[in-house]
Amino acid sequence: MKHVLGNKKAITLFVLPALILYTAIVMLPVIWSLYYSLYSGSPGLKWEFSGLKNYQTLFKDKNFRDALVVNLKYIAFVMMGQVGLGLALALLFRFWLVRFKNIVRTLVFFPVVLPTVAVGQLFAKIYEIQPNYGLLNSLLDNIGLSQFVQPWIGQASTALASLIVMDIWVAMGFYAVIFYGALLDIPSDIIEAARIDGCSAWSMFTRVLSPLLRPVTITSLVFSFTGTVKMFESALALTKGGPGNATKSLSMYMYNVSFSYSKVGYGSVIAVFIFLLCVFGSRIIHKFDKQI
Amino acid sequence: MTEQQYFDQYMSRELADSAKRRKRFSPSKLIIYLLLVFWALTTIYPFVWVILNSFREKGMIRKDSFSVPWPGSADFTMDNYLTAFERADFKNAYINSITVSALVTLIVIFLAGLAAYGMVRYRFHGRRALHLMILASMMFPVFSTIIPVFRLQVVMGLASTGNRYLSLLSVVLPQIAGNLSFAIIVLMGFIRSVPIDLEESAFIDGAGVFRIFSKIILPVARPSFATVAIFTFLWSYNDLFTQTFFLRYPKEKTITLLLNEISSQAGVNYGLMAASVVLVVVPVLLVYIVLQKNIIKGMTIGAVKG
Repeated sequence: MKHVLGNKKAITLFVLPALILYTAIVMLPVIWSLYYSLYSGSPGLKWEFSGLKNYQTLFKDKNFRDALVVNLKYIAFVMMGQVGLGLALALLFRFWLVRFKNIVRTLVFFPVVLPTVAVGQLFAKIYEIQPNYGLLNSLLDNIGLSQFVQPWIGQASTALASLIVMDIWVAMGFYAVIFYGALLDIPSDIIEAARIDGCSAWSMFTRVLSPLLRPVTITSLVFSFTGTVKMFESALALTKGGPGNATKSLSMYMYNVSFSYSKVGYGSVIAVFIFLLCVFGSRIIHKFDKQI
Repeated sequence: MTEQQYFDQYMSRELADSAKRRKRFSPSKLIIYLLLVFWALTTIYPFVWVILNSFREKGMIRKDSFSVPWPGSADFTMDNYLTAFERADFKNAYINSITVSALVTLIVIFLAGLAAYGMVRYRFHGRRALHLMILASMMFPVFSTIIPVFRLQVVMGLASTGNRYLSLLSVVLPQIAGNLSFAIIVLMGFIRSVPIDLEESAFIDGAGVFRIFSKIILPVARPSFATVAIFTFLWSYNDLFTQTFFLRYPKEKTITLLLNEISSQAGVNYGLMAASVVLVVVPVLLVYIVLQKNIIKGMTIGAVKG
């Protein structure tokens, strides 16, 4: 097999097409961004070499810091929610749910495939307060909790949380199905044996299932991190980054800086920062994943 | 063991398990069922609500958005759909969307299949670096490289030419790059779980690498390829950002772009909004209903296991 495994021609033919595409559309632009980040203004519009000035501005930029904080909060809560609730649902499917399993699974997975714009419109209607109460506010009103009726996405204090709830709702079905697949992979003998030994539900989870689910948990975290670090479309669809800067993410800020304020150079610095964040994130995840 | 046998084994194991458990019934189970029913309702209800409202006049939606507009009643109207078709070229937009997404899907599964196989089965210098690059680029948002990519495409004569087909192609390229990483990672996970024995014996029998790839890997990995294809198609269809950036002329607009446009123009015309949401979601819904067994099967059987 050694001869086959080292077959240079085969390797080239298998890997090269994807590699070329990556180089052209991912790596080259990253280097290009680095070069742009040394200029001020936009190409064709006050485009001047400014050295590291953009980088100095970045550290003093309050808007940038706010966007970073919003983005990190979003990553933390959405990751926990998506992966945690996904796991909980998968455990439900595997151990409690006997009837209607397929129907429930189909329904849970359904939001995953929806266009973000449509989901944003749906949730805007759910959170609505004017001209009439949306789903959430009318529910609160009807069950006698009218003191909680509020403009969920219209005020800074609840906008980010509302967005986080929406994104967890959208993606938890995806993780539930991944975890469910992994749970089916665990032989029933192991679970039965643990049961016979008098294993409680909690220690079953912590001692038996968790170690076996480790690889799939890491994969899920990778997917969730990659999804949340990009925070852009759902925020655009639901709140447009507002009110104020309450739901403005790094990439939204970068977009504004580059296109609305025509500072492509400064925008590129933010792009470089996001890239470093991604590399950092993937290194951390890489550390946990020995399989690679 | 083939894919089907794996699946059958899981299913029989599961059936035996649930038969054992069916005898018992407890209050806690009832509560869990109630919670699940409630939760299932939250996933369905918004859609029912939007579909209902797409058949009502905007005035009625404001007054009372929860009653049902039965066909034939005074409340029922098709006007919203008529307005939507009148104001926007939905037919053209469907063609654009499907062209872009189908192209992206085909190229992604082709490239990702080859790359994933090469990455799993071969040892070569820079493999780890390449893997890290794939991981990092999966996280890296498209929009942070969009300016250089755009300028690159202008240089290549693809973007901002005013030609409809070139513009559609200019969306396809970044979308391929955006979806390729996920596809490679999922397929690598699957191919890694395929025992190497089959390939070894095929090799001893004198089969070449590409024969092995096409006659052994492709058939075995079909559910995973299907899963990847479906996701790529849907993500490409739903991807608003790249489309907004590269498609600027009316004849190039895709379905998702139209919805976004209508939603910013329609303002308080909820009827029109609701009708457009329905028109955008219908194709996705059809794809999902037809293929949902494959999606869930493909994902459950080792497709997405890192």
